[in-house]
Amino acid sequence: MEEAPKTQEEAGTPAGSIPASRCACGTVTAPPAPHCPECGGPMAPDTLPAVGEILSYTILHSPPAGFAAPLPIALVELVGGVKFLCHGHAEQVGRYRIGRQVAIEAVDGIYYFSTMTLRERIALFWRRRGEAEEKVRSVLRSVFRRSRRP
Amino acid sequence: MPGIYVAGVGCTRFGRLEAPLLALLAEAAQQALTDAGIEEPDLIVVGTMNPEEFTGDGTLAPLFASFLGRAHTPAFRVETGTSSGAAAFFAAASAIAGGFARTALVVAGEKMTGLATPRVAEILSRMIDPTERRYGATMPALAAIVTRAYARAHHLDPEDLALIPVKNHRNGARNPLAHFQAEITVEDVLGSRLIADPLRLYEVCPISDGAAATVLTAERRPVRVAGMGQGSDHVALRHRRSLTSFRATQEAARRAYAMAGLGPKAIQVAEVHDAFTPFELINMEDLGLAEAGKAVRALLNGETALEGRLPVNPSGGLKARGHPVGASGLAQIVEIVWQLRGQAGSRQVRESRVGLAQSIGGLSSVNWVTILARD
Repeated sequence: MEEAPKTQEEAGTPAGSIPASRCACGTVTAPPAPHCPECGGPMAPDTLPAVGEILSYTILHSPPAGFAAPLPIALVELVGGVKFLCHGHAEQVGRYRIGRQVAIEAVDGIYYFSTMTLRERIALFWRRRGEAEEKVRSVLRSVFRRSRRP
Repeated sequence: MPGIYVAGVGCTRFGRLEAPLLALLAEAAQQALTDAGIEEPDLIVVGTMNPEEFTGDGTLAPLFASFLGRAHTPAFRVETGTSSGAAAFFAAASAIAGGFARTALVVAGEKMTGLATPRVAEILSRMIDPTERRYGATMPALAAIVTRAYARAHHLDPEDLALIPVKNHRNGARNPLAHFQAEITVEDVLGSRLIADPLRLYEVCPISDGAAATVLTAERRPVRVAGMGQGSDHVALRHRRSLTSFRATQEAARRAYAMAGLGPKAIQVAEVHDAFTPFELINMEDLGLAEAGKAVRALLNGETALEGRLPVNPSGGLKARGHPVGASGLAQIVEIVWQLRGQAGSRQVRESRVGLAQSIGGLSSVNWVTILARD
């Protein structure tokens, strides 16, 4: 049985990220799990940026007891390849598309995805662009340092 | 390895039936024993998914053996969810191949219609990973997620996919044992209510009662078990490698083809697990009967129709014959035997020597492929 994650505050996970587990074999899972689903090895705690894309989804019209119809459920893939089921918000159903970027939020151990507004997507683009620039600069710096070594 | 032969087959009518589970199992079993001309099998293997919940019956194998008047015949039960019938067949065939029995009765069935639909759905949903079940995921919900991904990857329209239940109902209309024996149209399919978008009611198998049986023997008979294979995968959808194919089928097929010394080109008729009808296309591709993304062409060209090059689900499939979960995997095998023997009545395909049955357990976490050949 996999441990249900607590709320983000309880789990000590920074905002904008979700708790996950990482195995020495490279497998990452969310929600966190004590054992690797691929090799059975122990997993260490990790966090992942809470942004992903819709791999596929359904709107369930005959949900089981305890759930209201229509119930949107998506399989979401985070940057880095981790996949999990997520609940959607019924009022956003018209905006669902395969490949659409979504923001993830964990509430009481259940993941919810929200389609992102144009403004949120631009902000994300700039943040990623900033990260990419920083990476290029650091590579250039190390190349430069190496080239100056005697 | 010694030969394994199918000596006899039997199957009850599928649908909403009055008879209790044990009586259904016994009806199929008697037919198969009579067909085989064998009165006392060395072994009885029972395949059911969940009689404890569906009908309140437990320890089903000795219960059934006693009901049949064979209380002292070795008997056990096999369960792999919705593929239990195929698993029971494998267990019995393995016992014969291993020399533990010379003859074996395999019987598989389920009685589901005694419970209300939400309760049946809840029992079936226990085949889903517990974490994913917390999201309200049901079997149709996960199948819908797979269907949308598959349709998107291969640019399929709802009109294309609707042709699968239309074909299978057409076959079911020629099968006197089928749950549904009426033809339907593309408009009927597209006009039926959404169960789990994009899956509609007419793309989802019914809840049925029914039982099937086979008698296996080590003695030479016309129909031989040429190959068997099983494949497994993560129960959790989120841990799967692909959303548009099922690894469990691919590996089961690889093993069955290797045992048979045959490839997909040798298959002349197939029964595949169409509990959610778009899966018929995915299954054909996983079995190597079509290239990835190309199964729809075979469907559109009529190649998988009764008169086609490779008839698929001549019985009507799980969609039209019905899906008493434990029974289906074995009922597929019974249909292939009838087709190879030329005993399939008005749904008989052209003369065939090699047929294949593919059964899915859970949402493709424990699948079976069985290849039969007429020598």
